[in-house]
Amino acid sequence: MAKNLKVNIAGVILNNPIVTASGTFNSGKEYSQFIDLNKLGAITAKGVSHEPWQGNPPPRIAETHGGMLNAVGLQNYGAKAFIQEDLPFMRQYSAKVIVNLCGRTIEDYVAVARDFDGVDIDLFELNISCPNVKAGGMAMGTDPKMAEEVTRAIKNVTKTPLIVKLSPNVTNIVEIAKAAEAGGADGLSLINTLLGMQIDIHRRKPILGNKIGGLSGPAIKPVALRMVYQVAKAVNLPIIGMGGISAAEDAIEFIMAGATAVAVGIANFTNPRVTMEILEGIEAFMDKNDIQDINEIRGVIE
Amino acid sequence: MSTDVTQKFFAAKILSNSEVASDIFSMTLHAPEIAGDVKPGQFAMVYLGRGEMLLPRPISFCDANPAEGTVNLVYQVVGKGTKAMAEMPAGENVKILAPIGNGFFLDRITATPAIVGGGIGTPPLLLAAKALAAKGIKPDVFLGFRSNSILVKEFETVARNVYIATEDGSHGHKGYVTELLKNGNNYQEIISCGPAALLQALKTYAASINIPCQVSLEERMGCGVGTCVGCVVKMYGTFVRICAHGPVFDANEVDLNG
Ligand SMILES: Cc1cc2nc3c(=O)[nH]c(=O)nc-3n(C[C@H](O)[C@H](O)[C@H](O)COP(=O)(O)OP(=O)(O)OC[C@H]3O[C@@H](n4cnc5c(N)ncnc54)[C@H](O)[C@@H]3O)c2cc1C
Ligand SMILES: Cc1cc2nc3c(=O)[nH]c(=O)nc-3n(C[C@H](O)[C@H](O)[C@H](O)COP(=O)(O)O)c2cc1C
Ligand code: FES
Repeated sequence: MAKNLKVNIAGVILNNPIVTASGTFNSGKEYSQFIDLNKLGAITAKGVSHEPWQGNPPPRIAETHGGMLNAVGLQNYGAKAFIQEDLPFMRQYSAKVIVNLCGRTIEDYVAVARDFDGVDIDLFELNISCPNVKAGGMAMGTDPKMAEEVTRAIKNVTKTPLIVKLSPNVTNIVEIAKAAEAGGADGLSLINTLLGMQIDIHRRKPILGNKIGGLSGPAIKPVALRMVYQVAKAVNLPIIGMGGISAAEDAIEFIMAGATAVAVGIANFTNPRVTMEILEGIEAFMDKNDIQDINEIRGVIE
Repeated sequence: MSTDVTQKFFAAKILSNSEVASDIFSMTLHAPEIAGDVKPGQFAMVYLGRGEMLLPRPISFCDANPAEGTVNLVYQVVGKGTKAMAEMPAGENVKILAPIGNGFFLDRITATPAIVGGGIGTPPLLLAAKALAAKGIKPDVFLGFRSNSILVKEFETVARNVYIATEDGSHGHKGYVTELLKNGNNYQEIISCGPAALLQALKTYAASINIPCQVSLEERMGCGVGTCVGCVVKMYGTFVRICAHGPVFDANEVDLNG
């Protein structure tokens, strides 16, 4: 019997649990040179706002031990350009389309969600956690009241299932997760990047133009895994787990901790074919351990 | 744009990798997958295969030999990643993604240009000089170094003249390369790669004598393929990705001061 890799995120069936993380995969075009996008469960597009955002001054990237800081600042051409230029490309593939929404205020978020009225997409991912945008993203993701409010505001204006993406830069991740659930979230994704910094001691200046940025990569994996585990135990929503996933073993850890799907971020930079290698590794693990359905191992950690 | 050409990600065999000047290494790769497609000014992302250093390093093509299926990278050891590259033994494989970027605008060159390179910015200019010489336009080449000069012999075989400046006077003119470039009006264009201060000086000079100046830019890179929007320069007021839209730009179109 063929084994089952299909997973269900808020009523949307993904062919397998492999998703790409927002902002690391653009809309898939570049990586389609190296992998078959049909073999992904879903592609999360880069963060999109109602109006174009220009982003932060360079340098925007700083490598760290086992990780990377970014301070891109959510540069994007706005929802209209995304819908015209990126979405038709994404729609050629069987991978589900997740649109990552950014805003500086609740009104911004509602406006960008409305930009997708009548547009064929599968899921929204609400980025209330981007640590780079000074004006608001940060505050909403770290304050349970704001998180609940913005979630509800979007739920009120759209029928597209809504995943809320959580910021790890909080003392109590479970509290924020519960707030998003109370606001009507259909799923959660976590984690976004952890705030960090790096200094060029010779120039006596931070490396990043924005001084501070978001850390991702293997360096954050234990933190991400712990948060997914805690949240999965506390809420009744499907979870897309992410943070440092770069091999099948990492992905399986997140699934065992309670994630329904897993997203791969900067591992794509280290190895453009990594998503396929992770998928093959999961299949091999299932074969070896006689697992018929990937959902069997979800949340097996007590 | 790089996303319109087919880029390849593959393991290339290291044919040689040795120090050619103090801290400067030359690595030749067996890469028939791309050797015939590489254009001057394009670069490769070199994957280090090291868990603690996740990001590939951008290195320009210094040469490409389609007949032999080889490409050559010349790089300076400036930090951990380039040190790891220097330690890669011949005979082993290294993963690369290439070719990346638009390359120099050579189609529009119809008369002698000035090629101006500074330090480790000189390698990609060799391939440009070769391509120009092949179409019968030998460039004048101006190279500036702190101390050790590199690739001078190679440039001499394809250039009309090669002028050298070193800051310590160990080779050629003592001082900056810009001091050698006096009669810019004799040239159709300036084609340049090097440190930001050199590019800025050339931009100003070219504008003052009203000739075009093309510059190859560097920025810290994440993906190298255009997805992370990390490697930007301001062009007409908006940030554009150097790996996807560059690395070569017309100097008057970009803000070189960040
Ligand atoms: C398009 C392009 C072409 C290049 N071509 C060449 C070449 O032909 N020969 C050569 O010697 N060098 C070249 N460089 C510069 C080279 O990429 C850096 O020197 C190298 O990445 C430094 O890595 P490191 O780990 O040794 O240094 P570290 O300082 O330890 O690097 C840490 C991080 O900073 C980044 N970084 C540091 N300096 C630079 C820089 N100047 N540009 C981009 N990223 C940097 C690294 O990639 C890495 O992510 C080029 C850069 C670009 C953008
Ligand atoms: C360059 C870059 C850009 C990102 N842009 C976004 C974004 O637009 N929206 C978002 O929700 N998360 C964004 N993220 C966060 C990632 O989606 C992901 O949550 C994080 O990188 C952790 O996963 P990783 O360790 O696998 O990279 C970005 C991350 C990086 C490195
Ligand atoms: S390095 Fe990622 S966009 Fe250029």
